[in-house]
Amino acid sequence: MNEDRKRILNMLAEGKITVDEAERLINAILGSDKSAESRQPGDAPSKGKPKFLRVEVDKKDEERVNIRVPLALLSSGIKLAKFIPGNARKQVDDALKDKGVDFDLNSLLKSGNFNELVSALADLEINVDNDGDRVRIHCE
Amino acid sequence: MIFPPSIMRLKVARDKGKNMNLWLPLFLFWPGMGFLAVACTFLLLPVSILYPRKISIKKSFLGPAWLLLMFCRLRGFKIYLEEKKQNKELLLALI
Repeated sequence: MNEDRKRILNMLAEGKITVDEAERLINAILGSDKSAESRQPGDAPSKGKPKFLRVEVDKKDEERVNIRVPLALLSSGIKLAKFIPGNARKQVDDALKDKGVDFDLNSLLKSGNFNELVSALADLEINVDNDGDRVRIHCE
Repeated sequence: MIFPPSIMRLKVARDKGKNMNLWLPLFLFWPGMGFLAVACTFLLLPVSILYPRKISIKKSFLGPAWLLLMFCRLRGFKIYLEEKKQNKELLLALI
């Protein structure tokens, strides 16, 4: 007999709760126990940690592009940017800004949030379908 | 532990013309790459001592190791391009 059930029966014996209330509480405990058991590995298919970022572009009857990039490569690539000298980083930022990408490499490297950034990519899924032309970006 | 890519596959296919399907055994170059990383560290070390403002000693040690790690993490990288009308294909895969 677990502690919760014992406590409910004690409350019933002391007259603090009615029989109906005790029954409801015990049912609630049994329900939560069952749901905990159902979460055991094997019962529910668990989605593993993705390893690759895949970009698929399929242009109807014209061309097809399929690129697979390891996610580990992305994170170590960002870390490698630490070795870029400070003035060169500014030049990179300026060049990106000229191309319309407002990106601050310095602040990203200082914050150290790049691991979170790469792990957030795991939830990314983009599907674009237009008259047979298809673009799909996802992690696998 | 992550190993560097073992094989590089390069495939170029054309409708009319020479097709190429290359399986390059990269594992043969693993010892050479390891040696190169160590050699780079020893080359960068005197530079970092002479010009500490240009490159720090820490970076001279970590730089080649990071490059080697980057190469290891290339395992699984793949690019496939296909032009359907002209039956052209290009595949680059690091297995």
